[in-house]
Amino acid sequence: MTVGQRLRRDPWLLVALFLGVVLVLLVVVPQLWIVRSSLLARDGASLTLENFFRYLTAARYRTALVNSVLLAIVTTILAMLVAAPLAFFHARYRLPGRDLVLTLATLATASPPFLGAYAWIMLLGYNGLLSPALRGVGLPWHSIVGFHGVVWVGMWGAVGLVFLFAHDAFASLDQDLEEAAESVGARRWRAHLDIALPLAMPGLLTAAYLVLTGVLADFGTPRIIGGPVSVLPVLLYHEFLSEGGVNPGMASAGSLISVGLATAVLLLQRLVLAGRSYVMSGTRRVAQRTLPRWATMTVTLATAFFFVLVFVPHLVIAFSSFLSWRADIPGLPFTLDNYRMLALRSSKPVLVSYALSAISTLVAVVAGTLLAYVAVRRSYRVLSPSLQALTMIPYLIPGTVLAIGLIVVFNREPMRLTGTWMILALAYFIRKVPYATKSAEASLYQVHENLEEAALSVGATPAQALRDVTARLILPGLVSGATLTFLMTLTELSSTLMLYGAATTTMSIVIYQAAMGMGGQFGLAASTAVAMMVSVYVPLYLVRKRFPSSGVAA
Amino acid sequence: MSRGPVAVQVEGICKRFGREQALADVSLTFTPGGFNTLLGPSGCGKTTLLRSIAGFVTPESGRILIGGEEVTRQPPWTRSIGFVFQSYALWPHMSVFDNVAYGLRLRKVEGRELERRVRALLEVVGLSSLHERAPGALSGGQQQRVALARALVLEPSVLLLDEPLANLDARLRVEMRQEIRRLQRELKITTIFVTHDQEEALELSDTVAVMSRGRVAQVGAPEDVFAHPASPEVAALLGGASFVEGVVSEEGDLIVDGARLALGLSPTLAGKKVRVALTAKRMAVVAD
Repeated sequence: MTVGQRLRRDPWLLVALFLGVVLVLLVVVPQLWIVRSSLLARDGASLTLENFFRYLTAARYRTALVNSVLLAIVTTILAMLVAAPLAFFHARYRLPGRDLVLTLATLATASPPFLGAYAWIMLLGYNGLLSPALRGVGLPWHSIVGFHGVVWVGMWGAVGLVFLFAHDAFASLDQDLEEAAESVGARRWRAHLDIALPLAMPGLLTAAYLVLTGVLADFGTPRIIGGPVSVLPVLLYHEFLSEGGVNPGMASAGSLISVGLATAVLLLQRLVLAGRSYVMSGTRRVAQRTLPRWATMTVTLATAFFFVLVFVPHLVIAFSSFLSWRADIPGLPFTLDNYRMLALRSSKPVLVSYALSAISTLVAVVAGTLLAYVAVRRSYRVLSPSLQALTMIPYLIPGTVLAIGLIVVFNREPMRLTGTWMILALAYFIRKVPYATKSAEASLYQVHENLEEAALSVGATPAQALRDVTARLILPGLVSGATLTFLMTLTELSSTLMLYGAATTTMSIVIYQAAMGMGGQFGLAASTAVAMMVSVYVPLYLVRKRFPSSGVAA
Repeated sequence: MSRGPVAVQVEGICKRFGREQALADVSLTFTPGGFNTLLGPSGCGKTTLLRSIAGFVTPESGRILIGGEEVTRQPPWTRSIGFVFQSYALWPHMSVFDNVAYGLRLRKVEGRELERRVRALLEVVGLSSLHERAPGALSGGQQQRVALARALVLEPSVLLLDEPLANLDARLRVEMRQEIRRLQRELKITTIFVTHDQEEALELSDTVAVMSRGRVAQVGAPEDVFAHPASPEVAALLGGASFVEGVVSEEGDLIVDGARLALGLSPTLAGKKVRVALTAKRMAVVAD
């Protein structure tokens, strides 16, 4: 068959080729520019590895690198230790408020990361609401700003996700397996430890991986609450944007090191998981047992305490949005002024955020659905695996690095996009295309191929079959996936901060500036943050109610 | 069907999936208006052959002809086929009526004509009262009937059935078997039926093609194939066969270790050492 014939018989080939070209242009080309710039010497002509070398030797760079890795490891371990045991109890024992607990955990996963930092500073910063009281009772409390603050905020930002993954892992075990252990003489706890824990390990490790990479790439939390503690994403930001024009080669080398770090963690995760995927033969889901009364009380109290700490930032911000702010000092009386100001004079960031998120989500979901279709339903020998790999690359690129790549490529004619809304939409699109694709893939796997073939057999063309059968059946999945994508873009900070302009200031920028003590619009920032929380949690709650099984945590 | 029954031929088709040779040079002619069965164990290539005829699979070489016209490289939606899937593949978001009507609507059949044709087919399969139901609300047997109606409403040249009875319980299976046979006789449509169940093959078919490892091992009327397997392989495939080796006597009996089996073998084999396949239906043992 000639290429023309193949294309006519299978128009998907054309779609796949087109998507491939787009992804190469938007994902691969910027990264290649970064590679090139990282290898250029200061004279801009000769090639050198000096930039990478300096990263490992100069204190300023090495400290950031070590801090990043250390922070990620400590935060991940603490989040796992806090959330996994609690999830275990809720998965295996009959405890009150199961539905509420799962809903709260789901909501926690969508919490904008920098909100936590902002709120904890308000509470426990040097001038925080609670700090004087702590000192008053004689505690040697200084401030939450520092390494411990980044860990604290990062950990409470991650526990929701760990809880959901761990709950899923523990709840999907076949009950017979543990009973079999008990039947050969293992006590209850022995069986939990020897059977349940190893079998749940793949799920737990996946959660740990997600937390680890999340912390490694996080910009907002360390920037806001880290104080003097330097980490990789923050260093990159300064290197690239500082007025003095520090060597861009160093920013590029740092970018590549970040991507390399993420890739290494991914490979490590694959390696560890490789020998551990078990196929559960049974279909009997775990039946929940009852704990003794004192234990039920203890776990319930611990759960309540857990969620209070998770949602403290939200309560603090909501509370502070009703206070009267004079410069950066909040006070009484309670007032609606902050909301009045938001509605009357400063609603533009809200609109900008919504518009950008809507556009990029729409494009990401359309592209993601097409990519998923090619991956699930077509088996092109070269094209399908290449597309899948291309789609997943953005997973490995921290927002800061992605932004650097886009600035480098789209900073010249004829494609000067820097400073426009388009470059922000592009960044959001690229960041969320992997999620949109994964979500569409999951929906597609639910629709048996025969349903589409049945349409072809009664004379539908592939396009008609797609429109009338497959698209209809995956629509609910796409809607829930799109909602989640929309929410994630709404709270995006790291690439936004590098790419926004005066006309494209988003909600996240307003809140960030207030958290950094810049601009002085603290009351407005608080009401904007509440607007953001409402925008995130209301749709998320509705989606979860409507599609309880959708993979919200992914 | 106004054109009269149509012949289907496959000539030397080959198909491989990765390393596995699913079809190795398969040639078959399916009788026009006949009930043709492809019988064989799972993985023998029978479903791949059926899907090639439908156009879901494109063979690497060989030709497929429907009614004398070559369709090998034509996509499924241009072929005149009706296909019934093992899973029925009813569209869960459409009612029974809409499932059957979909193909007609694509052909711009609308209004009263649409209503008339869909209802006529639902009547034929005995479901006229259920047309507003969602497929999920039907029993397995009823879903099967909808799938048949959907396949037949366009009056295709060929009806292709991929293990349509496999998901039914034993009692329903017998009932649907008779139903399919009745429909096929009434409509005189060339039918190709894939199954691994010998009983189904024996009861339904005009012609049986036994398949094994991507090849056609034997073709013939079902009684002939079952009575005279052409090779030990076919005999083994036809289930429950045991093999005994012995020498044929002058009377056509088989002598095994001094025991005499009255099998009515051909006297021309007398004195020869043979292997005989014994199946439950046709065995008698006599004392020596």
